Amino acid sequence: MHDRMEEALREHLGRVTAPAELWGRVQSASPSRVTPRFHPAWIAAAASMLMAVAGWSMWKASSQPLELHSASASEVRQWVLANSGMDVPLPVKPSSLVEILGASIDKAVAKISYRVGELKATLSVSKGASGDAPHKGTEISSTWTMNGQAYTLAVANPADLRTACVLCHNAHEAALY
Amino acid sequence: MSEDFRALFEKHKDRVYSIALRYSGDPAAAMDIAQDTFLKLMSRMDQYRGEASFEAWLYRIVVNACLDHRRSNRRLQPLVDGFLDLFRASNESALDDMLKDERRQQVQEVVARLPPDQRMVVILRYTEGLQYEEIADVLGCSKGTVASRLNRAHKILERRLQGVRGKMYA
Repeated sequence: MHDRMEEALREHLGRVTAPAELWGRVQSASPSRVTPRFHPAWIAAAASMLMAVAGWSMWKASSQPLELHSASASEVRQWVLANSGMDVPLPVKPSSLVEILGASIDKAVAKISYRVGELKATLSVSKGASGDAPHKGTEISSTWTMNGQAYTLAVANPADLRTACVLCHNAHEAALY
Repeated sequence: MSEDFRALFEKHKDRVYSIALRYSGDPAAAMDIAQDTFLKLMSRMDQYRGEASFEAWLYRIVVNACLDHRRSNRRLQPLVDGFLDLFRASNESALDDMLKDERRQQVQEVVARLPPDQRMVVILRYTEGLQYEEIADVLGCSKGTVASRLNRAHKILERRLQGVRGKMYA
């Protein structure tokens, strides 16, 4: 019986061919995901640009009007679902460090604003591949896809990006990123 | 994106996607995992020292992408109504091909319901054909742990198979 099961597992768990669109997905998502150290020449330019725009982007993030003001994750989730058709699985009880500020919809992109201590961050969610999500050159962002939706987490300071992960992850998990 | 990376992608895309699909049991999730894997691969190419084989290094990135996806997307696996029907004689049936497809799907669904640590060992063993030592190297655990996880996975599958046989012949 053991041998037959192993045989069945080998037969039915074999390799499959990756869909042709995978390359397009990788290409579309790559610009915001490639770390600067892979292209050392970018480091100096990126650092200079970040210094110049950090203050402006902080102001911009804090001044962007919210259509919904709410600290309730479930209320924000329902509002985003009702206004964009996208279900964004925000934890009902995120970390005690996290304060959800509200949400807005901008050109089919749901933007959820929150605060972690003194840090403000914006989680943008859009339908489709990650390349569909807006990647603002003035903010530090991390993008990923989940269940056919593209997520972009934007903060003003590179050092804050890991901190911002506590919206969806607990502190231990966030430290892994 | 360089031609070198495109060549790397073409060489390993089926391997990466297969592991992601077998682990997640869901084509959309597998695409997400495969995409993340290649993006991580691209961003970490400078970290590859050539001390281990490239395949082993790639496996580690895929495994971590699978685990990351699970952390960020915790949800219940869909319940499977049926059980494995591996031992049903099918050669004499005119529906053989259809039954074979159904059986393949059932195997994949049952494997997708295994606990994550056992599931990954099963995938590396039966999808990739890795030896115990190679699996241990990829997962960063001992060969004994690999054997133990595989043994537990086999027992779970065997138990379900026995349940099917009991139902069939009662």
